[in-house]
Amino acid sequence: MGAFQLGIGPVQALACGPAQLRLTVDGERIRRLELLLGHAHRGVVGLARGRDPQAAAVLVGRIDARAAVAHQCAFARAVEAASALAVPPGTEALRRAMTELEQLAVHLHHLGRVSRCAGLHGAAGRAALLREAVLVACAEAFGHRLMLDAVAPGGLARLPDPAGLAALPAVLDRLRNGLPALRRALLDDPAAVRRLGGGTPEPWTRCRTRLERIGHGLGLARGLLAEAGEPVAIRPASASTAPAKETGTAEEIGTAESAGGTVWHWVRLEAGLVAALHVHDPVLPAWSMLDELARGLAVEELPLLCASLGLSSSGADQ
Amino acid sequence: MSGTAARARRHPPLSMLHLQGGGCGGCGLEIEALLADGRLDAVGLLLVEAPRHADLLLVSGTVGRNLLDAVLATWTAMAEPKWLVAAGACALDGGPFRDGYAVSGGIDQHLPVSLVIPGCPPTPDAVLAGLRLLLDALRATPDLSPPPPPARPALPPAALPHRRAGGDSSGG
Ligand code: SF4
Repeated sequence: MGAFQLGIGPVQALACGPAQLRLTVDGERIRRLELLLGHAHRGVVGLARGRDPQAAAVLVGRIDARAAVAHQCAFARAVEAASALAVPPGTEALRRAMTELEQLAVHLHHLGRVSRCAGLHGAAGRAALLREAVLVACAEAFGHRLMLDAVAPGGLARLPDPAGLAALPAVLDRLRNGLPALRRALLDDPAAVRRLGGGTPEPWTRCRTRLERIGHGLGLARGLLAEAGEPVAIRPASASTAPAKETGTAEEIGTAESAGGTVWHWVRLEAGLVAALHVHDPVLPAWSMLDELARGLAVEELPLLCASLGLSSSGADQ
Repeated sequence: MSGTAARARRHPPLSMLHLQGGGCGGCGLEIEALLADGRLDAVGLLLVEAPRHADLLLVSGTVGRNLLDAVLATWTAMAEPKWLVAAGACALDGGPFRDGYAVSGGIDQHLPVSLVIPGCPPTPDAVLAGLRLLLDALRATPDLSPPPPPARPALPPAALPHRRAGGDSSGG
């Protein structure tokens, strides 16, 4: 029997955000998957050009909410390097702690999504509760659940709340205590193993990797929060920390870690303004793996695979 | 028990389709948080994936020029009566991206919006509070008709559909 083609999207719930797929199917098996991205394109780079770095920071934080802190930090680091702006070590440690907190929340988000996709409602509920605890704590410490508008070139966009900062280690404890049950519900439970590892082992192994990363991230976050020390040492970026090389031209690269991998920003400053910007978000390479991984799967197994890869169009389309 | 929860038990649930446009996806994350903790069910909202099955269309994120056709087709495919909710700054007016060449303004320029939930992103509580307002109004007046279509003319379609986000050398 010949192959059929099947269109999906751009309005569908396969990924986080709009995307269009064309499947070539043989019976129920996917033979080939073609991808059409770009529906979430907003022209971030075009909008950032000509802005001063502090204003552009608001924009780059909104490239992808699953890597909001990572994009803010990578951009801030590139600007800081290009304008010889020194960041106090305590502030830098706190920013790294924030990227760790973001990764914890995002891994938990993806685990919850995978669980719901696989009908594992107990695991989904556990992941959602733990994630919510992180977001509430971040809102108290940094003024925003997803830590948007939190980082700025030169340091932080606003002074963190001391009581909120002091409460963060307790949230890390809560996660550490809640993790074994989530691990059991996803990796050991026979029904979960069957559902997550049914068509392809990918969803199960991705869950295991995410759980390992959470365990690792908890330790890192704790250490970095201790390094950040007393909140009094953390000063928000202000007008006085404007780029030092006001008149010259400088190019630099900044990087930061997100749950999907490393985010890169290359920036060129001219006369203190963003003249050019290039953004690398690791979700784009993840999309490119989809065809390879989907081949041979049944069509109805595709949503689970997509959820486990943590695909989003925001970061890919920008 | 709140008024909405009490009424939700007396009325059949309404179904809602969540259409995630562009933007950073922050609004989508916060809406998904409501799904995860079952609070949508509690107010009598059922999430569906087919436009034909939906009473409410919840739009979050930017409606880019290349997504507009798909959004309009989704709305057209929904049966009457139907209501549209715009959640977050992007859906409202393009939010932080409103000046971009790729974004075709707020959804209200193209379709009749019944409810706007501001925020960047709105918290799950804010989304729920907004949806409750609408549900309460709908349930109090079952024959409540959706607002008339907007007077403003729709944007002309982009000259070329934007196929790929990339180097972004097209200015803007
Ligand atoms: S309104 Fe804000 S949070 Fe929501 S998608 Fe747009 S930029 Fe992201």
